Amino acid sequence: MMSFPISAGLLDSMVLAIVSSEDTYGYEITQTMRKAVDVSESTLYPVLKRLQKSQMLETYDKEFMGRNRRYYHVTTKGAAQLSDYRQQWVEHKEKVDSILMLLGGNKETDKKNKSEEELLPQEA
Amino acid sequence: MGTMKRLEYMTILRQKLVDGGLGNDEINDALEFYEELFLDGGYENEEKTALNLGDPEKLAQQILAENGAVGFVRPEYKMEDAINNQGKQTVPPPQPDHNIAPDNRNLAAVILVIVTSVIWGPVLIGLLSGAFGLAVGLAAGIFSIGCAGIGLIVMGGVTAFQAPPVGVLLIGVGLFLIGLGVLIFMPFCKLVIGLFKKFFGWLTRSLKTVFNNVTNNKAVNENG
Repeated sequence: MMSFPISAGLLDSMVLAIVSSEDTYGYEITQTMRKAVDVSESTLYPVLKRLQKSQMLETYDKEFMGRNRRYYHVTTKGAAQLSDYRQQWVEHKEKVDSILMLLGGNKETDKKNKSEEELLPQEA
Repeated sequence: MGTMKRLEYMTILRQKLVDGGLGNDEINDALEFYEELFLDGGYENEEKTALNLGDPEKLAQQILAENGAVGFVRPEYKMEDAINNQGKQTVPPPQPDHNIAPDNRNLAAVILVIVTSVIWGPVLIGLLSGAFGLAVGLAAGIFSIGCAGIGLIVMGGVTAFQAPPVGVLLIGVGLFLIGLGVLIFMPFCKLVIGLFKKFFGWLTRSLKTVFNNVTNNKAVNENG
């Protein structure tokens, strides 16, 4: 079980990232998500609907093996939101890492915190 | 067996969404999405897909919640129904059905009442205002008798210096009128206030009865 629950914002941004690299359909999105995080396929429908409602995603249907497949496409608004999410994520990650990974030897943090290196010479 | 898994799942999901009163477009949209997941997941993996999706009833509630629907679950619907149907192998695939409408009759009745209120609302307000005006008018009339009494006493006081008998008469009549005014005015006010209280009590009771009927009908319709 994951100790860190995935927030709605994180789900939105990950789905946006998947669709932004290439227009894709529901099954592929769920499979890609499941490779990285432990989410039920049922969580993703509401996420996709939400992103459509807020005009981050738009859909079109394509025929596949005699049936319809709904493809998702990132709008300009969605792309802008994604880059905003990515920036927020980097900041968030750095802040968390500055505490959580203090012993893990993050190079950037180590350069800034010489004093901590001195305290922990075995990690340098 | 795999096929049955998908059909069973989709049948339950569809039933729960219909029960929840979700709009047809939303139901079809959700069903198409999950149908696609099953089909893309592959015929042989349908049980696995169903497992990943979790309890269809919970999924339906989640979809209903996202759409701001009430999430009403029909109590007498049993899992066994779907399983028995599955055994017969005659269940049609859960094709999006455009004919199923949520029970909106009671909503329609409420809307009808609200819309027609444009007609009967002003009439009701007019009648109420008329009755209120009449009551206030009568009260004012009675009050003026008392005022006239006071006026006569003052006049009598002045006249008493020039023509004492007339003055005394005027004071007497004035006192009489004040007494009369007080005697009629107080009970009249009580009567009018009592009548208005009774009327509004009746109005709230009848509105409550109408409202209760609507909700009872709704429950009957949904259970039946």
